[in-house]
Amino acid sequence: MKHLAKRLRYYLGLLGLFAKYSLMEQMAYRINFIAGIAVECGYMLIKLMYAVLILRAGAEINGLTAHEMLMCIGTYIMVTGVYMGIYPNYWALPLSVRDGSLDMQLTKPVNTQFLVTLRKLDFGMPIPDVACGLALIVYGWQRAGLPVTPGAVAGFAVYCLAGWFLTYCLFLIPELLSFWFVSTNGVQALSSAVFDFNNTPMNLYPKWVQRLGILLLPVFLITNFPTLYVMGALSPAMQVWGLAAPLAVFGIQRAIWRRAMRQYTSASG
Amino acid sequence: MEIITVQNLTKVFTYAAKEKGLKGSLRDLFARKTLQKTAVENVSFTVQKGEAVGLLGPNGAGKTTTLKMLSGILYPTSGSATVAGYVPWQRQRAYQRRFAIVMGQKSQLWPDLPAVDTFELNRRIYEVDADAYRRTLDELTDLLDVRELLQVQVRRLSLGERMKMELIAALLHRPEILYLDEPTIGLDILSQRSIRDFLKYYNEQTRTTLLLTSHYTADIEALCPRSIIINHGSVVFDGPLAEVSEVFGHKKLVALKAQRDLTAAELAAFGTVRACQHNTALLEVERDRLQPCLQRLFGALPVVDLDVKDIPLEEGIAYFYQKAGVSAP
Repeated sequence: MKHLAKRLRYYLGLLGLFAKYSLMEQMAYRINFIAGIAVECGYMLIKLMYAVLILRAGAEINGLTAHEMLMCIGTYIMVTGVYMGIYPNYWALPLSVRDGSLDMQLTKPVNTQFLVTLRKLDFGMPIPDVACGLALIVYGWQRAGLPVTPGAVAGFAVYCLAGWFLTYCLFLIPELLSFWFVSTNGVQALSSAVFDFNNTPMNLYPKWVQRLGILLLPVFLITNFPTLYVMGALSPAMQVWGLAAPLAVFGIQRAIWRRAMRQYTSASG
Repeated sequence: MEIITVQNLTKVFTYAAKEKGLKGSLRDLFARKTLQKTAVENVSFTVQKGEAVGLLGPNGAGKTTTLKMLSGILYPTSGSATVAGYVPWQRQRAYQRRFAIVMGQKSQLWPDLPAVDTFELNRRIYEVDADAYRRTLDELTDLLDVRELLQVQVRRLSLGERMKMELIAALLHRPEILYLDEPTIGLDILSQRSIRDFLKYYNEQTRTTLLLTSHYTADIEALCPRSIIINHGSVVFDGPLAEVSEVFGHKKLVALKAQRDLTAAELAAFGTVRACQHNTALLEVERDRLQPCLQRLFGALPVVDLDVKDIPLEEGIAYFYQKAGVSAP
């Protein structure tokens, strides 16, 4: 236990340093930093259009009120923001496999996945997303008249964290294909499209799509389960699945990661 | 004491064949042929603790691939290796703390930050005690004369300065084994010499084991009492570099300058004519026939300058590059 705590402190310390260095690097290029925020604000406005449309319609769709849907959309925007914070590493992974710049990272006495996926953190893009997502969640929660108890808030936070962890694992898998196929732009675009299924609450999709998105490719867990938990609309089995699925996907992702590491061929020069 | 043991190490890369033209690309889309390239084939050698060994070979010989397997970057196809008791490609943390690798064409420094920030990151990664870190950093920055550059953004440094920073970043945790892949590539002569002098001093002082690849024979000559020549993935020579010169030890080069223009035809009687231009020429002569040859040269030609040299080391190395076996020419 003591060893585990020491390791946790070690990795958190490194993460803090990565965050500091990433921020220092981004500050060095002010225009790029501001442009990044502006671009993400643009994307965020598009996502907000859904929220405005839903609020204007004010209708209840498949058991979700407009304000509950707003919470789902807010969660989606917030999780997207956090995902964008580490996305530079995902984007760079196929490139570093292709040009062999992964070499140096493989020689460090630190968990390689940690180093490869969390080394560069983006601050510009997540700021507007996280701020806007949180605002939508708070507003929707309040207007939906859902209970604001410590249990509900903690449950919401836990499913948000589980959703983010699931995002981290699930969307790393397509990037790992670059170890076999080198260029994976098409797969990257496909995985972005899959993530954007969360643009709208899952209740809006047909039942068979919902089942696929919960059980087979559990993308709907990411942004729907926190709100459904607060609404008391998650069955005990789904509550367990909401926490078990990220761990199961983590297991699969780690197995693929290990095979990918064996597959790595570096690059000459 | 052996610190590196390599036995029959082999690495085969599999890659997709790419046919030329649009038709070829279309065919590739549906039926792709895979090819195999053996980068390293049954390479075996041992390295003693504290030794400095040079890996020589032409481009694509398998030197870098060998280093990458020993540093755990690549998994071998077959064969075995142990370094300090560890199997490198198992990537155990304990092993990773005991070695470092510097690659001339790859950087571990954060380009937009001063090098000292990467050093601090490495200190945290390798869990180096703050006092030991400061002492090592002071010592290395003094030896490499880069103290004033610590606060400069890495991307603003010259190639030579950056390489010095790469060396510091690699040595902060005091590794027992240092792998160097073309550490002087692209550097000017002064920077090359500076890096060479540092590595020689560091190897002598700390007994850190060095395994070095370089295209510059001068690097190997200066640093490595022992060299391994790899060609087509296999070891074709293992021994002191001086022995490579002995391949051509029975021959000498005679550079001469005459008062008038020379012709290849008149020089052919004295030895093999390597070059002949205007009044200068370069002849290859058997060593045991050198003295009578020179006497005849002075008698037959109006010689104004003459220089007798050994066959350059590079030619001995090139001989091994072109030949799979070790037999005198």
